[in-house]
This record gives sequence, structure tokens and C-alpha cells, in this order.
Amino acid sequence: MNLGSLSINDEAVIVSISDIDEIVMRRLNSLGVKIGSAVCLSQKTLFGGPCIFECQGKQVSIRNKDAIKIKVAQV
Amino acid sequence: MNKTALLGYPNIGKTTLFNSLTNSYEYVGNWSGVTVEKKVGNLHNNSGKLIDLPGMYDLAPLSKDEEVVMNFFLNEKFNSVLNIIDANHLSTNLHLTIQALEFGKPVIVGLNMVDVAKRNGFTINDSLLSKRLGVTSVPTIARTGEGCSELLNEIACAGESQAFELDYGVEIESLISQITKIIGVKSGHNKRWLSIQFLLNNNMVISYLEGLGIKNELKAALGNKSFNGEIVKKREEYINSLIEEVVTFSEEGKVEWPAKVDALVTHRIFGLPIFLFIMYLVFQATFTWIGAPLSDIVDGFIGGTFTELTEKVLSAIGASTLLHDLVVNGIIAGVGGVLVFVPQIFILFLFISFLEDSGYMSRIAVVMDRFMDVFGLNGKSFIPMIISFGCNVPGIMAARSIEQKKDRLITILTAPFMSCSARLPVYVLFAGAFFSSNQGTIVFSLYVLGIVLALIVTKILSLTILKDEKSIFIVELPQYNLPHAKTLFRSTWEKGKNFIHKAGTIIFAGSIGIWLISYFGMSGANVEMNDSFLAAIGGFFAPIFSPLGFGTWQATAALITGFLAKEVVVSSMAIIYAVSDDTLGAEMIKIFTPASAYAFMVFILLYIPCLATVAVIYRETKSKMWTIISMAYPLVVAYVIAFIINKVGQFFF
Amino acid sequence: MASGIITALILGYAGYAFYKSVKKKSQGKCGSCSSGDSCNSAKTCD
Repeated sequence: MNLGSLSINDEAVIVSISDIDEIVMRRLNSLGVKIGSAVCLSQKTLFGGPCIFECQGKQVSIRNKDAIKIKVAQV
Repeated sequence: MNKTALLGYPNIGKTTLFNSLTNSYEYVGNWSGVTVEKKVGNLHNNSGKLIDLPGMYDLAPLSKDEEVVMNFFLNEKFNSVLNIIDANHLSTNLHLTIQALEFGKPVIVGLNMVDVAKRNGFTINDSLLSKRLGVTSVPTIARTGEGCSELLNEIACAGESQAFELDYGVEIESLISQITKIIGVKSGHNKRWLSIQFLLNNNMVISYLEGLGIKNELKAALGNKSFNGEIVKKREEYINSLIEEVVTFSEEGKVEWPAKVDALVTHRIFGLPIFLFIMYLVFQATFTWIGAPLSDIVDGFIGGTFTELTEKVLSAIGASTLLHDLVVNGIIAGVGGVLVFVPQIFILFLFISFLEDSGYMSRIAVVMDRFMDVFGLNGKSFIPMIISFGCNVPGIMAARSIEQKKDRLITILTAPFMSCSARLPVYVLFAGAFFSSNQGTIVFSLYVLGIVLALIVTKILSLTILKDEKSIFIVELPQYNLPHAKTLFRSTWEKGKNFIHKAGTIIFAGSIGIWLISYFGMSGANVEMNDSFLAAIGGFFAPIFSPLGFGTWQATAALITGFLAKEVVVSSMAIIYAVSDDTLGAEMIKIFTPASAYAFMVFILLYIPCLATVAVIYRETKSKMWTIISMAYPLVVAYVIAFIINKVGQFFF
Repeated sequence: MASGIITALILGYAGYAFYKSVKKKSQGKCGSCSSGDSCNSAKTCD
């Protein structure tokens, strides 16, 4: 299960992040998105566009192709 | 002089605080290395200067504006750091605070957005936070100015730095002491801070240390290991325990509306139509509902009362014909023709400021990303584009927040297609004369055309010259806030006064210059306009524009002057046709057809970035080649498109 | 006489203003920068 496959309002915990672009990775880290963080998917867009998720009270948006590289476990 | 650096994440109200803490922008500094403007302001209580640094997430720079901050830390002298943190996101913001504390200068913490935090259900014990970090922290609400006087006091009496050391564990600590030893007395900076940043792979610190000539020793000490993860983890543990102590959370008082607004404006289906609808409203309000009636009032005043008054004064002092013509046909026609558009431009800036302050801009980035991806760009490029609607110069500078070189370059190259406010007078003049029943729609169509062409150029660039780099997208959506009236007016004024200032300088000078060469000719002074130097110059180039439908010397002369500043096009026309602005439209109808008028507007939209924009493109790209390309390709595009419009338009209008 | 002086003053100012603006503009500063302040776009200067 990955971040991109969650439905809207699903809550989950990040299990692993792999194979993501270095810059995206570092930005995610400084935004507090890392292994063990609780996330909640708040919006998806059409045609595989970016999704928005909430993490530690922050709304963050990344592209779907990056979101599917973030493996999560649903809670 | 006491200097304080303002440091913090982007989008947490730093600029707003800067404005409340300082009374004026004293000067614009060019920091060494990168020539990038930073705002420097005098603190209200005269205790020193405050330097506004770009917002950043981490001292290890990823984007160009973050390099500015790191460069400042490494190369500039300052006394203390004012670190603004978002009370809603302590767990992330405190990472930057720790890095600032490790730097070793006194740190004052401004705990901002405590009101929003309350709305979200957080209460923060700021005195306990101060005690744990060993700094002074002041709760503030930037938008209302709350906490600013306390901050000023704290900055004024910021004394010696407090020692802050976080224990990173045996292995890293031993490395730190090794590196510290290697650095020795070679650097005046805090050696522990340098060592930690080095271990974090901060590329600017690495090159700084290499510059000290200790590269090999450092390499030997470090081996090939990366310590990023471990250091960040230690910091996190510390921050989490700190937060557990100082923050209390309760579900009560949490407000739901921001989530609901977001669900709507970023909606998978409605998001895009909502955005387009908002933009359409902005343009209608600017050009039809509010702006146009106000412009008519200004127009009536300049063309009527003011001109009559001036005529009286001139005849009272017994002015010569030369002076009379210079003032009435040169200055009043030229400068007045442009001043008429001040209301519209201010209203447009008011809306742009509102979009910037409210937090909607980054939602636009999300909504537009999928669309932009088709063209090989990312949604973030859309923000510089929208800012370019005001003025291309800050728009191009806003491209700095884009992480990737390719995306930044493309954004810079296409931003001039975004129709800036200086081009507006031309549209309003022509749309008013030829398409008066649907002015708003015609002007809107030009803005859309600019965007469409920018996208096409983007696609071509990302398929050809710049095809090897991929595009990335990650953006944080800030909390919504209702922009405070004072902040809104201040930032509108900051943007708009530029225009008034130009009226007194470049437009004034341009008007007089044009008037002069239209007044003199081969046969002397006060010649027929058709025999003037201006007619000769315009006439020489005019045949080039015949296929576009405006091959007259008048239109050509106006186009040439437009390179200085696009507003001058209207000044030129007002002078050339020697009429006040309200009859200029009537004069135009005799010369242009609707099709050639539209072609002319399109040509003005596209043909060349103005002088200031060209210079900023050079400064941002640091490449002569790209600067020349940025001037040359719009000419070709403008010519082709205007040609097509003139030919095809004949069947429609 | 008065006319001559006023004309000269206006032309003189125009020349000066032209020289100054072009100099500032060619450094890549838009009008608000060239009036001694900084561009103030929240995104640029945040």
C-alpha cells in the first residue's frame, strides 16, 4: 500500500520511502515527512496529478509518481 | 551598527513582521557573490538594522534563494538572529532554530501565528520554551502587529550568545571534534557549527572549507560515510521531547473552515474552473467594474480642468509657442495619457497582493501542476507567471523558489509573455476604441494568449534544448489567512508606486524626447508632423510591419519607444496624434481596422521584454546567450502571430 | 526670457531623468527598486 493508493481522508503511517528524487526527499524531510510520520490524504487530482496530504498539521502536495514511492500502512 | 538577520521558513509571515518592525526600507543591499536584493530596514526604536532573508527550510541550500541565506551566514557580519517560527509547526520549524543556535550568535525567537495555532487547538508555553532553548521567545501575531514591541525590546538588548549544544552521540561527536581541530584558527565562524554542517553535506560549507585549503584532511577524517540521517534523528528526538513539554493540544476550539475551503478550491474537478473564474473576476473588476469608471474620472480631470488651468498659467507668463507646445502636447499628452491608467493598475496590484497574502497562490500551483506537467514544467512555475501580470521583474525573480535549473530557466524565458501592467494602457486604449462593448473579454483574451504561447514555448524548449532534465514538484500549502487591510494596502502601494514613479521619470523623459523629434525636422522647428525626424525614423522601419496591418510610421515609432517601458507606447501615440487621451481612441479608429488593432495589441503583448526585464533576465540567468534569446525569439513569435491575426481577423471583425 | 529658462529647465530635467532611469533599468531594477526601495512581492522577498 502506498500514499498514492489511499482514498481521501484515509489515515496511515509511513513505512518506507525509497527511490525518490533527492531534492524531493530532502524537502519532505524538512517538512517533517519521514518514516513513522502519520499522514492523512486530503485531496487527489485528476489524471494522476499531484495529491495533497496532511502531515503534522501541514498540508503538503507532491506528484502522484512520487506518492506511489512512499509506502504506508493504514491505521 | 547593530545588525539582526531575519530567518525562518517561507510563508510564515516574515515579510509582514519585517514591515511592522521597521519604519522604512533603508537600502537594497547587494550581497557579495550572488547579486540578489535583500531588504534592509531600520528598526522602529533605532536600535539597529534588520535584514530580511528569503524564507528557507534548511541551511543546506537546495534552491537559489536558500543559497542567498547561506551565503549571508558565511560572508556577512551581523550581531544576532531573529528566528521566526510558526507556532503551528514547531516540530519542523525548530530544526532551523537548532541550526541557528549552533551558529553561535544570539538568537531571539518570534513565535508567530499563535492565533492560528489556537484555532488549530494548540497552546504553547512560551516561557518554558525560552527556558529550554536558552533564548528569549516572544509570541507574535504578524498580521495584527501583536508582540512587535516586545520583539523590538528583545532585539535591542540581545546580549551575549548562550551556549547551545546538542549531543549527537559518541561517533558523531568524535568526528565533530576531529573536524574542529582540523579547522583550527582558519575560520572565524563557530567551528562546531561548521563541522555539523559539513557532516550534513551542506555543499556551501563544503566549498567554504575547501576554500580554506583543508579539503584532503577533511576527506581523510570523514571517509565516505553520510551522517545526515543520524544528525537529523538526534535533533528530532530533542525536538519531540521539547514539544511534549511545551505544547498542549485540545480538539476544542479547532476550526474546520480552512479544510472545507481547501476541499473546494483544490477539488479534482472544480479546482481548475474555480481558479479560472477567480481570474476572470479579477480582470472584470480591474478593467470593467471598478477600474474603468475611475480612469474616466482621472481622464476627465487631466484632459479638462488641468489642461485649461495650465493653458491659463502659460498665457499669463507669456510663454513662447515652443514652451506651450512642449508642455501641452509633450508633457500633458504624454504623461497624462499614462497616468489615466493608474487606478486600473492599482486595482490589479491589490488583487495580486490579496492572492499572495491569502495563501491561495500555492493552491494554484497544485491545481495547475498536472496541466503544466504536460508541457514539461511544474505547477510552481505558475506563481511567477501570475506575479508577472503585475510586473515581469519581480515575476522573474520569484522564479528563484523553483528548485530545478531547467524549470527555472524556462519560467524566466516565458514570463515576459505574461502581460504586465505596463502593457495595459495600450490594451485599454485600443479595446476601448474598437471593442468597447466587450473590453473586458478582449483584454482577457490577450492575457490568455500570453499564457498559451508561454506554454507552447515551454513545450518546445523541454522537448528540444532542455530535454534531459526532469521536472519535480513538491509544495507546502500554507494556512489560509484573511489578509490584513494594512498589509494589503502597503504591499499594493509598494508595487504600484513604481508606476507613478515611472510617470515622473522615464515616461516624462520619453514623452519629451518623442515630442522633440516630432517637433523638429529637416526643415527646422515646428514642422508638420509628417516631415519630422520621428516620421522619418518610423517611416524607415514601417514597411516591415505592413503585413501585420499597422505599417504606418506612427505605429512603428511607438513600438520602438516601447522597449524603454511599455507605457511609453501610449505616450508616443498621444503625442504623435497631438490629441488628449479621450480623443486618441477616436483618432485610432481612422487609422486601424479592428483586425489590425487586435494584431497591434498582440504585437505589444509579445514583441520584446522591456529594458528592465532584459536586465533582470541577464542577472538571473547569468548568460548572455539566454538573454539574447529571450529578446530575439519573442520578436519572431510576435511577428508571426500578429501576421496571422491580421489576416484571419479580417474575416471576423 | 522666462519661457527660455523654463524650457531649458524642463529639458534639463528630462535628460537627467532619462539618464538615471536607463542606468537603473539596465541593472535589472524595476521602478520600485530604482526609487531606492526593494521589489516587494511577498513571494520574492519572503
